[in-house]
Amino acid sequence: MKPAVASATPTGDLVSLSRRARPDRRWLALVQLLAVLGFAFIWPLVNLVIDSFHVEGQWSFANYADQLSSSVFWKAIYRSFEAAAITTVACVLIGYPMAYAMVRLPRRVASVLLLVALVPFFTSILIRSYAWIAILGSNGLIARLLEFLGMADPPRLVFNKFGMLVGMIQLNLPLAVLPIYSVMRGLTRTSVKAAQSLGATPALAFWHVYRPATMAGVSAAASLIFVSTLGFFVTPSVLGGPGQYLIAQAISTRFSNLLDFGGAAAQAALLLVIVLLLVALLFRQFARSLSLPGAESAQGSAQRGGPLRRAWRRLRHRAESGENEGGELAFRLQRGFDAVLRVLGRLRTPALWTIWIFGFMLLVTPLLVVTIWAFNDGRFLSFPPEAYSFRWFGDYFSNDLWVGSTVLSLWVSAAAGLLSVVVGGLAAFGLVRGPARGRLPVTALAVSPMVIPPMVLGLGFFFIVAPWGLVGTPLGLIIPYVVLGLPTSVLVIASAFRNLDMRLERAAASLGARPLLVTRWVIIPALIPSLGAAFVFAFLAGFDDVVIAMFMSGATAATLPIRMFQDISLEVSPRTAVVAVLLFALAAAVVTARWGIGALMRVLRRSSRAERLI
Amino acid sequence: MKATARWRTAILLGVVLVLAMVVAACGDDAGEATTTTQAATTTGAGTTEPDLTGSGVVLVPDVGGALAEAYEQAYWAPFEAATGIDVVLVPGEFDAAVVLGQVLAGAPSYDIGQPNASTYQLYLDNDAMESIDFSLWSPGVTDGWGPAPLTEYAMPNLYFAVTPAWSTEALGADAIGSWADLWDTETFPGMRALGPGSWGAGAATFEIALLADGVAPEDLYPIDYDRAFASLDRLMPNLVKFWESGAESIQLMTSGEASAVAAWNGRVYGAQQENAPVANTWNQAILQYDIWVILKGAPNAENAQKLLAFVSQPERQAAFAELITYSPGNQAAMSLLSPERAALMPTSPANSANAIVQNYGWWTSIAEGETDKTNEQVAIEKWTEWLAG
Repeated sequence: MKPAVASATPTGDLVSLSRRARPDRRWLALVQLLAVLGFAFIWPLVNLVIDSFHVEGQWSFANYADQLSSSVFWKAIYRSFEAAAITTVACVLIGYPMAYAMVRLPRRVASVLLLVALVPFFTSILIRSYAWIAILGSNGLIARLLEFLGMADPPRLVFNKFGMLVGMIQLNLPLAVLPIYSVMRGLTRTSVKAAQSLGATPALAFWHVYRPATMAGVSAAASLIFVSTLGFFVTPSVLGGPGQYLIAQAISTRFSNLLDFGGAAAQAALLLVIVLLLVALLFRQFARSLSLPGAESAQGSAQRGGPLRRAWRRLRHRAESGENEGGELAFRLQRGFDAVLRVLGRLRTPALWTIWIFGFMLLVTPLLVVTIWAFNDGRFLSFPPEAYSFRWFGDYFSNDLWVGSTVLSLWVSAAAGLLSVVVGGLAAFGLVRGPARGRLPVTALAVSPMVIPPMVLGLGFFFIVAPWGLVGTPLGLIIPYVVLGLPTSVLVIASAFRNLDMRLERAAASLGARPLLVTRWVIIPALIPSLGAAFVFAFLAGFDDVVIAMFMSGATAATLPIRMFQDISLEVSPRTAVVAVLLFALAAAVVTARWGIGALMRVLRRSSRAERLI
Repeated sequence: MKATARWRTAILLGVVLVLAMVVAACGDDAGEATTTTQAATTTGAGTTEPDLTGSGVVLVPDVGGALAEAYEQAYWAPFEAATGIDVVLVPGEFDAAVVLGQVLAGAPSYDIGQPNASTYQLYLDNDAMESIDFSLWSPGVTDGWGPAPLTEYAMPNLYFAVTPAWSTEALGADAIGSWADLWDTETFPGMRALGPGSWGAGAATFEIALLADGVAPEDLYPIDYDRAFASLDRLMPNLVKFWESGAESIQLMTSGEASAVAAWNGRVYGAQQENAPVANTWNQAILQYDIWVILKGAPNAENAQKLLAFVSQPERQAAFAELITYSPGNQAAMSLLSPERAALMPTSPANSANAIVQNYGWWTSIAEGETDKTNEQVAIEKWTEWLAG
């Protein structure tokens, strides 16, 4: 603890008394969230939904009846949910071990690996999809490798369900790694060590002590991935085959090709209702993950302690009274399972390595292809290129429009990301620590922007703000980007809040720290990894957006993704590849600089300490 | 001596003053703009050329790529020089629906819109366009438009065609001769790609499927959906995908994913200019066109009127056709082209001899047995039903 806390108010002993006497106003932390969503999400959406009940000037359910009775709609819903489920499971299965391995590594190495995990976000969604075609296609890298290995007729890997899922999994893997990693970072390994000292093998200790404690991160990751996958439409339309017709494409067709705004809004509203019902039913775990045991009653928490401690207690409890708990059979099953775990545990190092290499390839190979394309001398994205040059780099830097758009996108997304983290962080506090009532609906609301296809959100928002002259201004982009960033911010920070040991805060408070000081010196430092992760996601949500910018950019605020999307859908030139490479280099430079500064600070501190000793 | 010096100063002052006034009046590009404006008005003197000079800007969609370069050289740069109005390119116009949404909200980001011919009907239904002011047009320029008509709201700005195209690397220099050949994967091995039927008339997929099945061009309309889908079902095992952009149709061939595709003629020509091994045939080419309209509520509607009046002139239209292989809207421009150049145009007699003009009249009319849905809307719905399986 920093000395500033210890020397805080002298009336420390009164703090807890006076706080207990005051009414609980922690729900106030939700106000900002509700205000932002109310203005920039609910209002536009309600506006459109009202419109969807208007058919030819009269009130009508026709739009809804059409959809509900349409087999196309239900088939698209089914396909989308199936794809989302597979993607979610695959991402968690790959992402969990990756996060676990990262926690065991030194922080500096981990921060580099984190950057690797974020690789998919640095490339425009379209060129990333083209890169997958270069890898999975019939003349692609894998086909050539298989041919080299002597396989006569390699299977089709792209323009079908498989290719689509690969693209979706790559894009969502960071959404699995980051939340899980940030929860794991918050845990100490003492309980695991205790379990091992009592004779549990590492695998057993992991499964019974560590894993339960990390489930909050897993459920946050799973709900994020599931919901975000439902909104995908570029990936399936580029990498999927003719039959991969998902709900986002259905809405897009209704919007863009049929120009049926009411029908598109009806489909989006129905999708939202179905997803919210599903979240309420399937993700009860997720709702629970938001409730911190003891957040309501101070005593309960003190007794029950942090999640690790709880899990540890459960394990001890079972060891003591295992035989009576679930009967003979359950006990034997448990024993058998533990034996399997023990065997698996021996393989943990090679297994972790394999998964890391696999995940790493999945994340990085497309960027490698894109990097090679950036140095392509030709106009087309042929792989491998016939000639190499810096032609497209020169082209980018000599183009003021592109450089200007890059700068605009960077600062607009950063501002939106920052606001999302502030609003989302406060809301996460309100959700986890505030009253249990209203927790689920507010969470559902906070996550909803992820489910609503951006074209519907973009249209609704545009209709409201266009008369105010917000089109073509940075503010007109920042507001909707804050909305896009909120779901990840709220979920990621809430899951971290839940794992925060309240005893630390009480300890600080009992030593006399006022709430603000506690926030500054206890809560924020403990949340730093999650705040960072939330910022990165919120930043990228805006930085990767094309659709909302299509409405809001106007003549004066063209964002980088708009330029990239236009460039690649009209020309498929390597210029977009250059942008991807430059952005990644920028991110790498930031990480390296932080690393370098950290090292420098350590050296300075050591030398100043040495001086003092002298 | 003193007097001469005073005179000289006075003249100098006068020149500086006039220059300053000109600069103040015309803004940044004053020097260049004023000289050319004067030139334009002097050449125009004598005839009843409408005065197109003005100030401020006009917002046009940035279409990107070779087409944007052709527009710039043939239209925008000469227009700026002649009128003093700045042409500002606005990126991000990929979606006619987005633009319509902006118009309905009363704040379009563009002055000029470019709905495709069938979206035009929806723009009409929603009263989304301003009438074109033909009083600004040079005398006689309103004649000679076709086959697509010049209407109260729309100026056809270019013609292009969906053609059968193939990779010469995979199939040799002389291969596909018709849509039926494109379906014939035994003679011409490899995978195929077509445009999406979810665009309705946009990529002519319904017409292509029927032509491939042996339907005569004059019997195409009304579209026989069952026959079209049966034809597509036959191709399905050899179909890579339905492409999502013109660029993708070429990309699928150059990356070796498909050996033959349906592609726009300008895309194929552009790829050939970049030495990509692709070719196409004009036989059974399906002729389509784009239009320019002035959006309702356009912030610079007056300048947009002047822009259309300027670019409609045959000389400008011919200059455009010299730069890219899309026919200009004003057919009077065709006679200004060299025979070699004209031969590359979709509307040249040789190329259009066996081409099919897409029947937008049918596509935009109300479907049989429906009260409010156009044939295109019905087609899109049937398409999604068929795709969803």
